[in-house]
Amino acid sequence: MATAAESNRTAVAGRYVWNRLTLHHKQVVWAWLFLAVPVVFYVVIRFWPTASALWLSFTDWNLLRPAHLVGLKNYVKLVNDPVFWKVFRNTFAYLVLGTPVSLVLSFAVAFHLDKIRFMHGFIRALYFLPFLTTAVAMAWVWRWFYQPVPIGIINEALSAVGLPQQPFLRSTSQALPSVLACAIWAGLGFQIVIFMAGLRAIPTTYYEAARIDGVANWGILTRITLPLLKPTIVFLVVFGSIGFLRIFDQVYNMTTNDPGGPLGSTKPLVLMIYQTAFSSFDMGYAAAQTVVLFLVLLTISLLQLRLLRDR
Amino acid sequence: MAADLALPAPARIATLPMNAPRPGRVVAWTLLFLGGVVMITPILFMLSTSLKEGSQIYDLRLIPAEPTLANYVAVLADGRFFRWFVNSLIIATAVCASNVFFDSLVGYTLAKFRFRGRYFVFIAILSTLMIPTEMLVIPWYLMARDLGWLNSYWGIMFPGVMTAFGTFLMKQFFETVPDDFLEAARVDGLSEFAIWWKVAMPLVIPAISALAIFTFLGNWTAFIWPLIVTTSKDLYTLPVGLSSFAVEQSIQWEKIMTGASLATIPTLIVFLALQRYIVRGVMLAGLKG
Amino acid sequence: MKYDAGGNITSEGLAVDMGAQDHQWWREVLVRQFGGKPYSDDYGKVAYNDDHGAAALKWYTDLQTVHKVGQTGFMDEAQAAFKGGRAALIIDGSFRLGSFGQIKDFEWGVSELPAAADGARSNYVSYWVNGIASGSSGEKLQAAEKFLAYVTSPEAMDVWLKVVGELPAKPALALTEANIKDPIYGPFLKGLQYGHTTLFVDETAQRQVAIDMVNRVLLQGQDPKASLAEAAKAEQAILDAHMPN
Repeated sequence: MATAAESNRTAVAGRYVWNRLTLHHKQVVWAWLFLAVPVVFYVVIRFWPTASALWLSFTDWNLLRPAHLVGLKNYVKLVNDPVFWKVFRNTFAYLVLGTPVSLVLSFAVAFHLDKIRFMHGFIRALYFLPFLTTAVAMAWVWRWFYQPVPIGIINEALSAVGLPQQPFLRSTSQALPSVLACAIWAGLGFQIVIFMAGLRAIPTTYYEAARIDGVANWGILTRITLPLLKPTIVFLVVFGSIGFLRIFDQVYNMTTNDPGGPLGSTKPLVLMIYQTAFSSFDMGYAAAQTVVLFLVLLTISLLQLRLLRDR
Repeated sequence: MAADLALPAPARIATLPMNAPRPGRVVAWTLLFLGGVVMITPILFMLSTSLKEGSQIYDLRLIPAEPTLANYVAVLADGRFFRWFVNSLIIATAVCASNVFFDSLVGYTLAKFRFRGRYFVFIAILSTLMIPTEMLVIPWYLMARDLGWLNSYWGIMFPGVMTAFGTFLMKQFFETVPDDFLEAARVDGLSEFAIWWKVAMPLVIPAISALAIFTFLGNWTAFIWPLIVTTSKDLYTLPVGLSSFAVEQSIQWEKIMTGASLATIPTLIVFLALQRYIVRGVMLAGLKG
Repeated sequence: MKYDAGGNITSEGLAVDMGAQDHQWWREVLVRQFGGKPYSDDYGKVAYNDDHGAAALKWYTDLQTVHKVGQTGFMDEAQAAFKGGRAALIIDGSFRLGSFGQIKDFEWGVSELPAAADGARSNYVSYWVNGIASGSSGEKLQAAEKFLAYVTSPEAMDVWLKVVGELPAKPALALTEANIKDPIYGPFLKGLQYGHTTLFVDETAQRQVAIDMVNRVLLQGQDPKASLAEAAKAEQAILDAHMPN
């Protein structure tokens, strides 16, 4: 009884304190209440492993012997490694080609798909289907497509119309775009879904108002649709860029017999990390590469968020 | 599918200018259709390969010369396939539910509350997207081993119960929700939790559906982590189980394509079930509430 | 190679793929047959960067550029070209026999690698090493010992031979009368007599050096000699990084 009364008193006191808080302070309390569990999760499951990768990057750990601190040795090695710079260039090529191409394509598809009625559901499903499939199996199908005749259907089509055969994955200049095409294809359905959700989130009243004011189609696109889609676009630019900078599945599966393409022409940073860690077992060096990737991604994301001025 | 499209589409179409050139629309439709055919061509080849005998797989004709269901029989006859399928289903569904709850909650908090440290929390969460999974698996493994989580559903699930991807996605969508709605609910005396759950969440159902589809898919196809954390074949997920068809000596592509085709079925069902909510307009839901 | 009317390859004489087994062939067989030596005796120093090595590399790349008996990348993988009946010859390991056993459309056989004009023969051989982690103890150690005893038992090796095709490591089991006379296993066993085993420090990385060396010649038209020198430098760096100092 006493405890009940006591807890009752505490509750009353608590309520008294709570009621005296300003609306803003209540909001702050609620915000941290909502974030409490997630913050614990992120610290334990994400930041701690990240911190351990940072620590590893200053060591010579190779799974067999205990790690020794070696200072900046791994980073010095990285800067002097010609493979790293090649891989760095490749990784950026995936980014600067992949992000804009996939965004423009997915927006064009989503924008027009949003308008058509005839067989709408069917056509939409065609675009989404690739996203529902397994990356490994599909990367191999693409790989077969790119082969010379008699097994590659792209080259078969080219020779059927009298065009010369293309080496695709066997060429130092065509291999990267070939792999990238598969990656764009695999992610396009995802971007279209997000764009569609974004387009549908724009209240129709805005369109009606613009229509009454006599704004033309192009004006509606540039002055209403695109500005109101901004949160969606910001998300896709940032997330898409991270995806292209972390490209791995397609490259790994499409070039297993010469990992990273002829003369390393398709090798991205994550593949280099993977090889360093799990085929050379040089964990310290792999961790240093991971730290570099992390810094590159963080810089680019912050830059994009700033340029797109997301509040 | 046609029925659910009928709801919002006419309202949208009606707002299009009536003088829009018909030929333009026909051209757009034709291009979209052709593009769609290109999109599914690789999938058709996956299906086609699953219907071929092992010696025929490099004969890349779309229609198999002698179609056979032998691969499906072989894959399904292996009793473990069903077990792996169920494992994947349980894991993907549980992780999906957890993500919808936590990612939305955090996304909402970051989008709609004003407090010191908000941007820092956002960037910190976003930064977790920037470490390749390949580097995280070793610390995760040590953690799972020390806590006795190896070879358990929870062990497979724990790294994914919340994701920066979902948080970022939901934050962006909650930003489009007008503050007035939330203020009105606040004036009505709803608790902050109720405002989020009962007022804000229904307004972003398209985004929640998208998040649910992507989370389900991501976990359905996850490979590296389930491979590392499970050693018991009874706990394999579908992709890990399927990979056992690819042994170094001979990769049985026809079996892999068969498994991949079968694995697409549940994702297709989830997609078809949820995609209708992506279509429904936000204001429609908002006006009802 | 055979071509169709459009100038496309339809079949080839030899399936060439440095990423498969050709790098072993080049290192331990061709280099030696051209009078060179791939590595120092302790495999700590690259020794193929001389005229012999260059001749071996030129001979290998000439197969494609001059003699046109094969084409890297034809049918995607060398084993697929052979399995599909579109390559007359392939150089591969006994581990592939299980897969080739499924071939139904044509008859095939195995022979030793060709000797050089002066009769010099060589081969590449490798073997598995099974071990137990030094930290294991108690029940786990016992289980591991039991498993290791089984894996190395005649019974397990027999299963491995029948399913995969790889020859047993125990000479008593491998060199049976039946195996030596076997038209498929026999040539592999003969090859063992003059085989060399490369002591790799990082096989994936060293294989990549060989793949790149050939690609520089095939795709970029680099002179074999220059490409070989580059490869020797790169491989030596890998060896140095793993050598205890």
